[in-house]
Amino acid sequence: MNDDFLALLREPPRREFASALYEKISREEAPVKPPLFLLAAKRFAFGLALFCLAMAILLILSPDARARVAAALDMTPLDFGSQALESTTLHDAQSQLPFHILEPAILPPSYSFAYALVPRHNPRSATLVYTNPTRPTSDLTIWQGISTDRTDCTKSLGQVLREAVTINDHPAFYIPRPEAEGPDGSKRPDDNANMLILEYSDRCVWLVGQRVAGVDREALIRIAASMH
Amino acid sequence: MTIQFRSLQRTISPAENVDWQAVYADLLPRVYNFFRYRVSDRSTAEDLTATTLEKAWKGRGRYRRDRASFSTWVFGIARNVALGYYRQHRNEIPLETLNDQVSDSSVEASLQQESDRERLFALLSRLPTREQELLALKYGAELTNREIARVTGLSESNVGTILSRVVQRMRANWERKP
Repeated sequence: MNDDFLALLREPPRREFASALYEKISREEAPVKPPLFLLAAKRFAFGLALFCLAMAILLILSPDARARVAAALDMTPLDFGSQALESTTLHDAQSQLPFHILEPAILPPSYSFAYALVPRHNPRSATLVYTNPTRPTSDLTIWQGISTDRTDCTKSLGQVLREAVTINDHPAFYIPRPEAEGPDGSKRPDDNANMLILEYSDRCVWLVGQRVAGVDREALIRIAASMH
Repeated sequence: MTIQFRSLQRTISPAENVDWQAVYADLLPRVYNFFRYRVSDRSTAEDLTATTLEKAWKGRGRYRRDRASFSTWVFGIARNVALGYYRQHRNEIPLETLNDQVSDSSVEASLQQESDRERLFALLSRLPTREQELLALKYGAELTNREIARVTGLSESNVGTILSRVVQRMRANWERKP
């Protein structure tokens, strides 16, 4: 069957048309590249999101990880030092605090209550100071403060030697040589002092006494056991 | 051109090393000639060719290699573009515009050849739309009967039968002196 005549209309497209069309398609093909810093930022954000997700999963699944993070966030010492303290009576201190101040029923010989210290702003702790007239530099100090998010009252002590004891069913630690801050600001173990820390459900209690004044391990334990 | 067609290569044939410059070079004249058999003037054929290839390029992500060859897929698009064009230009008779076009360009070509083209297009324009389309796919796009069947949805034997009958009728008319 001769059908050549049917191919008569066939012809090549114009070269100008072919190239123009190609250019048009090529322009559509060319991707708009975002700036390099944007790519880097996107990658960083993606990596950060992945890291956060991994950390969240780790915190959800691992109690140990939670404890470590809590410890890392809770490195500040109990509110002793830098806060402005106001000297007051025990009664006045009690009126400022949201908890009942525990007092020792037993004191070492020659010791008596001298004054209380309470932070001027947002009082959440009290320091009871007992003095001995015969030993002017050997005060007995009992600090107690709310431990809202603290489960370990010894956390701020660092790696000092300690002995775990139990006093009236409360976990406690005896520290024979607590660190004391020297005149140059550096901390070093105090050979004269000794310390007892008690963990109550709502607070921490620290007792600091001087061995030279007869306030040794046994005396601290007796004093702590008599607190009510 | 090879660079621009890389993504097309990945989409169409990820496992084969295809020269897409050659694909473009092959498809462009076939699509263009498909439209040359459907519309009378070159500029309209060029516009419809451009529309088809742009649509194919933009929609290449939708191409499914397991369903049809790329050329079959492209001619499916070309067919829809032609249908859309005829819907918009329902009252236009291709032959009328062809006369203008031929008379304009006949200066460059031989009078006989232009006369033959004019006559052939006149014969084509008298055919029903489906037969015009089949002839355009066969002689313009140079598709095989099997490819035409895939593009149109007709069976291959049906395509062969219709084309045979149409070509016989066209030849009879062609051999008849005007």
